[in-house]
Amino acid sequence: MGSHAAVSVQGLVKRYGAMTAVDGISFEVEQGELFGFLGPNGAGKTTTVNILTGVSLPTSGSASIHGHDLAKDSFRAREMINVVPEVSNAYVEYTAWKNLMFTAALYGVPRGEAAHRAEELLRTFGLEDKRNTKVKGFSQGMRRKLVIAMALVNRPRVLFMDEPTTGLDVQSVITIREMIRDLHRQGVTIFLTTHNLAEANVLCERVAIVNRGKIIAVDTPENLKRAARRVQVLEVAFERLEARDEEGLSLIPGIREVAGKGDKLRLVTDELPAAISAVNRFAEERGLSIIHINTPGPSLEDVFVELTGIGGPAKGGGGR
Amino acid sequence: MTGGALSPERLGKELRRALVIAQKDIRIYCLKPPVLLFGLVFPFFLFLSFYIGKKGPISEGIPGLVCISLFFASSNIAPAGMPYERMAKTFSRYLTAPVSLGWMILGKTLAGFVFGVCVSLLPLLVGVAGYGTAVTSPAALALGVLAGGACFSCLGTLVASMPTEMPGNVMTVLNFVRLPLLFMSGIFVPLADMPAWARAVAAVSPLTYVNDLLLRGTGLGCYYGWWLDLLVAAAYGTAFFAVAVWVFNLSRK
Repeated sequence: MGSHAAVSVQGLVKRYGAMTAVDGISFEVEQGELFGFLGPNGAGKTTTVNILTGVSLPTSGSASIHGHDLAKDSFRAREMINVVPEVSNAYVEYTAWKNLMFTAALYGVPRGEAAHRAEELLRTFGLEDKRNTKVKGFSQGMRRKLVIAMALVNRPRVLFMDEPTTGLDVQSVITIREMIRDLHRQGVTIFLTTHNLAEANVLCERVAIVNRGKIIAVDTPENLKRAARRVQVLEVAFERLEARDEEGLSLIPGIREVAGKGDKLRLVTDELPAAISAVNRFAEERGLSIIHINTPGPSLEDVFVELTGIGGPAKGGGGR
Repeated sequence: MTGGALSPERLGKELRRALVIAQKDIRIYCLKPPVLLFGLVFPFFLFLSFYIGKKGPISEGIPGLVCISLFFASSNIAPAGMPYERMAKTFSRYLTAPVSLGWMILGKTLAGFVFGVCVSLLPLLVGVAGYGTAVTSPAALALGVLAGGACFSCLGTLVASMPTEMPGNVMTVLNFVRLPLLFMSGIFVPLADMPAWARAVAAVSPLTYVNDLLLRGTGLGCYYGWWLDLLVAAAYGTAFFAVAVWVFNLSRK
């Protein structure tokens, strides 16, 4: 990929005093790729994105956007990107229209083109009737949509999105995910930072899992799941189940973890066939009726837990 | 992290983006309560309280009032806006945009400069129209207003480089710096009437030189040469700006 990569990172290090936030990470994102950047809190995700977007400077290492080095030619690099930060940081004193026009001017979009683009984006995001309303009066979802619209006003070649759907209602989440897919179809490279493994699973072509400042895996979600062969999952639902039965399940040899998931139980095991037999025997012995049994395979969440060593399912999981 | 080579095309882009930032700051922050309070109301009443017991025509006090207005208004915009922008996370918008740090800070400084110059014209016009203040050297007066606006706005930007999200913290530090600079200058007591030690102290304040230019412009006598006034105001402004850029850059490391 080399200089043709949309994002190229080589041996990036960021230290704050004695603390190393990013510890020599290297990876590349191809042009037009939808790339997920996953990791627990404090893993170094935001620090990495801050360096890639120019907010902070690395201690050592290099990074480039479409071949433009962020240390030597950050101006050109930043002309090619835009950012959707975790916090919806539109100017609350400005209307939706003024926010879009200001962002366009800041990125050097000519006024006529900016006005046309702003109209188009307001339509796309359903904010036409809020055009002349100050952002102060916007709901969380409307602010989020506006901030995403602001990030698209300069038609960036690389779009950095930090937790784009956090805190939104279901309808807004669906709209924004569909919009991300649309941008991807249009050839925009998307660098998606998220805690939401389900979101990464359904959107991303490749994901990097980062922990303690290091990248511990980069691959497609399916390859990562395949690689996590040791993690096998059995999903089972009983007609009725008491707490002591659930405790009994966790005592079956070979069952590593039992977690409730809606009306089902999710059993993590190392030996799937043996676990199925054991669960059937357990049900017979206790007179329980199995109404659903499934082997969905490891989710991205399971891979994440396996790789990062976090002791339980990650928040926002369920990424099958 | 440098922005890369500065070609004429790039220079044009940087300048336009600095102007966009300045325009936005003027629109958003000029009417914010801290700006109005510390930029307009406070200097007026401060001047009034000192001048009220003083003998002599009001026209002679006008250059001092212009200088104080310029000082407080120019140095107010960046300290009122930047902590607020850090809190609202809008400050990171500039850092990710294609505009170099120095030009972005120039845009912010320009907003204070424009606001300060506009505010200072108000007492000047009142003085000329209502109290017979004479403009004997328009060039010196214009140089005083422009150099003062630039220098004081750079001071505001320097104080605003404090990495805090609380506007109150920045305003406290700003006033801690501004009030001594004001009282040690030759605004309330003419330099010629000061003892030697007080004159030496006054020479430290950039206000002294800006006020000297304004006095020259209104024919009320001056102490230093106009070129020295201009040189010192420019040197202070440049130093304030350079240190501000350095501090902002430091916070990115």
